[in-house]
Amino acid sequence: MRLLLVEDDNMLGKALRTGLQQDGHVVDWVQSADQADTAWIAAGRAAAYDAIVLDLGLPDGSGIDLLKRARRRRIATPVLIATARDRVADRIAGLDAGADDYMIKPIDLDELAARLRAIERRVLGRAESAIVIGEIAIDPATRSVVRATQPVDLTARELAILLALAKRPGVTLSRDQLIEALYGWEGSIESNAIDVHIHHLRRKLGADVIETQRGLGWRLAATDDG
Amino acid sequence: MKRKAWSLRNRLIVLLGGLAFIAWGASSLWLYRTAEKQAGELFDAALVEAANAVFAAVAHEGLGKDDDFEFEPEEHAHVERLVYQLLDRRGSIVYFSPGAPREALAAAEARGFSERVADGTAYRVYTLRASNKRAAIHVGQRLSDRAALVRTMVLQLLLPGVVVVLLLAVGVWFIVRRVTLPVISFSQAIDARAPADSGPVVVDSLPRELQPVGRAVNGLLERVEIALVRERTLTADAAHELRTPLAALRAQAQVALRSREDTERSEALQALIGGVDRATRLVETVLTLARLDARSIDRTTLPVVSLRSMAGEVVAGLSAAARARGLQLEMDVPELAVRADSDSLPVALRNLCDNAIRHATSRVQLEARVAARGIVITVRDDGPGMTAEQQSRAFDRFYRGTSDSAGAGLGLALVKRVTDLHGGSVRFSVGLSGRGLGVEIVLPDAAVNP
Repeated sequence: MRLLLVEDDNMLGKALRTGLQQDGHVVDWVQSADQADTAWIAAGRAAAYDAIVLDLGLPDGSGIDLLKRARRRRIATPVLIATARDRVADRIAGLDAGADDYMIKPIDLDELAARLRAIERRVLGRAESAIVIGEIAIDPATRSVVRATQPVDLTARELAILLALAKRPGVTLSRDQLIEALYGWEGSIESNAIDVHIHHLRRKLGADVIETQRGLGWRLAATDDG
Repeated sequence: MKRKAWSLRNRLIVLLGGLAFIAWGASSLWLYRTAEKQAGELFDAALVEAANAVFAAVAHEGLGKDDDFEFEPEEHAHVERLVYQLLDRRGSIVYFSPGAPREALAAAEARGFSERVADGTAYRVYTLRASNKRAAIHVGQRLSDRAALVRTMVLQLLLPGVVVVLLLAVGVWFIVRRVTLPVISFSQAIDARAPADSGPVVVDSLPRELQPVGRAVNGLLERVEIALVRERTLTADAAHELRTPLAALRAQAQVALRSREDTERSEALQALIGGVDRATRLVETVLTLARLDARSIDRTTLPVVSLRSMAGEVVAGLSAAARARGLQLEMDVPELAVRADSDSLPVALRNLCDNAIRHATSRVQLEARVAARGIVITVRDDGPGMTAEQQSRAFDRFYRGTSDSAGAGLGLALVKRVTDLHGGSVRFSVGLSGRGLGVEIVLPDAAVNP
């Protein structure tokens, strides 16, 4: 997933970013409400975040206000609040302000990852944890891919591309969308990097799994049971 | 030794009751004396009257010519029991009324009022002598009768007084209870308050004499409230500020644990160590603040110390940090003897210099001088300075101007607390060469007069 991490504390922010990256997420990290506003709300629907991990006590304002502002603008990006405020009243206020989940610091990275996967499932309207397309089964929790009972070994980038495409089978994703989903703000990448990853995926999963829409991008082949 | 508390109420009741009793006693005594005197005069008048009446009767009938005249005194409840003796010119009793003694009631030559014991009974006697000395009349009354009559009279007069005194006592008791009721209900109101309720006591409804007490209680409550709020805010902020570094520690540890790359793992472990150091600093600062909060300094008994050597030690301790950042750490402190707490003031100076070192670009200056308002200590840097908004909140606990995680936002709060303890003040001033930040401590009582 591509995530926006809003956390003012330097050390905790670094740790959360690394932890989320270890889970294969692409993380943009901002340390103030103002920066979060720019990256998320001002960008509007153009912002490609799958979820926001939001701290409430920010130096230049409350995370709750930021969240309310986004919801007023009908920005529906899932938000997971991660805060030190542990009172029941705070949790209720956070959820009612439009948050999808609420976690209290200290945060376990594995639990955070599981909650983000749950948010993703809800967003995509999936009941099961695993994603099955044709003879390929992807388990986001264990980050394992199985092709016709045979485990497939994918790199983190390959898995990220596969997951991005598998979220909406049959929907075409452009090169820019894939770059966005894969690299966040990490800057310049090789122009043919995506093509290289797609090539490797086809070699490991079968040539017909990913279809090329010339000039548009790529999509997973829609299957009857997909 | 604990003395039993005396009661304002009981004392008032006893004193006022006693006063009423003494007043009653004194008035009774006066009444008795007056009644005795007045009754005596009345009785004497009755004696004279009776003597005159008897004399008139005797003179008319002709004493001695008709020896068999008799009269029966009428029996009447209020008739004073008077006795008569008629004496002839030789002084022998020629007639006496029933009950009168056989002995003469007065001396031979007596005239007017006299007192005499006759036949063992004391009498008050009025003697009337005929002008030709042919005869005399003694009219007497038993002294005991007179006293008994006076007693009866006075007792009847005093009886209502007893009732009045009793009523007065009840009235005093009631009024004292009534008047002291505000005191009791005031204390009960304070007693019945919830432990967390530190709102002011309503003073306006109290009597004027109790209002200073009410105000004093309110002053105390206010001070307690301020201390409580400070405690509560500090606890809440500390919980938040402690939880975040701990959460960071945990997250870093977990990152290290999950990492499959050596560089990532060692980075996480490095961050972990940095985090532990930071948490340690935070705990130390919180503890120092808590200690300072619990303290109060008697400024008159503070030791006299050399400000120069104190500042010198602070600067020496920080010179390495300044050098590491390529900064010039200057000290301009004259040889000054000051009254200051040698534990806390260096902590405040170190905090100020430490802040300045972290934000300065090239220079930090610690300066002290004597001014009319006291000893003025200033720490200046040439860093980016602070916005007005940041300055207004900088002395609040756990306020951090930026998300720079080096501090927990307690340094300036600690400086403020130390200057408060010294009865001084702290404010921002201009930094070095027109930029940066200056922090100025004024200690009005620190100057030592030569």
